Amino acid sequence: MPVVLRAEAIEAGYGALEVLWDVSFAVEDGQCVILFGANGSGKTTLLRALVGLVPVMAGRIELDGVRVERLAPHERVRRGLGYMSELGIFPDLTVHENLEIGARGLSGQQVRRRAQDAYAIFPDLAPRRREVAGRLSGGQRKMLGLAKALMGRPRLLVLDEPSAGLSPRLIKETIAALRHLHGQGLAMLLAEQNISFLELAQYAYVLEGGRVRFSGTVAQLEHNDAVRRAYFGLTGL
Amino acid sequence: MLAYTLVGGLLFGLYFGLVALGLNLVFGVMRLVNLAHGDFLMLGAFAAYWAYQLFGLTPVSALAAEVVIFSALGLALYYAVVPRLLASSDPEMLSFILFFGLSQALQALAVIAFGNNPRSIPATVFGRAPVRILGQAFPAAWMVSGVVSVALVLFVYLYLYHSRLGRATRAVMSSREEAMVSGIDVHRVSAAALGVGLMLAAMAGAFSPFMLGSIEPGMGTAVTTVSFTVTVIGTLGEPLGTVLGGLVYGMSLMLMESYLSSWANLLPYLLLIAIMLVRPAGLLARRARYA
Repeated sequence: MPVVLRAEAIEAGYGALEVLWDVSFAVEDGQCVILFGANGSGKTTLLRALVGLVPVMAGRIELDGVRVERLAPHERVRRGLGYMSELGIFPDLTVHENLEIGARGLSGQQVRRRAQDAYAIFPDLAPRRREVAGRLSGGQRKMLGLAKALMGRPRLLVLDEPSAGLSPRLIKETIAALRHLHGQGLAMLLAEQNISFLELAQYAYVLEGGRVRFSGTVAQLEHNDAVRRAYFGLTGL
Repeated sequence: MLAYTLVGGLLFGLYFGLVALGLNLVFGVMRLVNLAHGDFLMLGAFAAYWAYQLFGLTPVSALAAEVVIFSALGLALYYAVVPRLLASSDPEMLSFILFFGLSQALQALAVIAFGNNPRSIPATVFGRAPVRILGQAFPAAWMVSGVVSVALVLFVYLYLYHSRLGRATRAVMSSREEAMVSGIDVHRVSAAALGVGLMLAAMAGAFSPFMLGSIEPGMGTAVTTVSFTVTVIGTLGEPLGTVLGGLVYGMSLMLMESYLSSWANLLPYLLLIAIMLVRPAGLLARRARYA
């Protein structure tokens, strides 16, 4: 499988504070990769470095074989990186305007067509298209964030803690939506703490203290007692 | 007397809304206070003055040239200064110092170029006959200023709500970081906002000889104070709220000048203190933040 995203020996941080050391990983075309780790392990910093919100001090990031670590965030997005942050939406814009922003650079007709596709995948959003996004419920915001990120038809969808702030029922709905998207061949990279998302992934990395402590298939992760005890506090998955 | 005060307050309110609109647009997009805002208005006033003196152009005729000159100035200023400012560790504090320095420099340059003497454009440039409303006579220049102010507010509304660049501008105002990772070139959007902001200030300046009295290089500081007051009343970061702030300020000013004229100069400061105590987030602030 061709590699969509490759990160090699990434070091990144905030000013003089280095948070990530020698982090390497890859996402293949159509693959779902999950980054696990406790709060403060560096998951969000790693994703922010990938999309250009945190400067990369050393290492390289390739998107479809092209180095992007020196590009501005909007240039990385235009090269096929879709990113859903924890906020994920523009709270002061309407639902439909959020989708229009996600579809940057397309003609009005193409935007309308893609918005219709988005409303078909996330039917809760359709009747609220003229509502200000900040008034949506937590689950609806998450769906809108996903829909917005998909409007640009990304090569790779990067999601930062999609379960954050959601009830167990909404987490199930989010997983179902992501499974549907992954089933259509979309490559995904998720940073998560919730083990329910493991069912989506084929490959996993575990981060601790800004370093990769484990990498392997999800099956290998599930059978690694040390990882299970150290990071999930579980004796069985 | 009351009819004159109310109509005059409305006309001045529209004008003050225009005066502050650019300041609030720039703040909304960049979260930086342009302390040189009033000095760009002063430059716009002198541009209109010289257009009248040298070519006999009315301030309305001079607006087209001001649009080109000051929007280009805004774009140049943005790329020369702001990206470095935003990359610093404390952009807000640095912006105060930088724009204050720019304000002083513009005033000094204006003194060298134009001298310290107050100047004006005769109000009769728009005709000698006053305009009568509710039985009261108003200078034609006030009416022209009111009409231009409404037209420019409408322009800003259309820009923000019915153009792609405007939608991207509101996205940046909503969340700069989210805009970056949504594929928006925030520097392009911010440069456009500063260009529009300076253009609006300069266009307001073209009418200042009729609305604020004579023009002189030092007028910018007081204009910036009034603009900041109007912006805070209407809510910082809500450009169209500035119109409401302008109307509140204009009405209050006319009421003060009609009934308590010796206190009128205190008005910006009194309103600023009052709004900070009663509704610090401004009249249009939301009850709860969305995120």
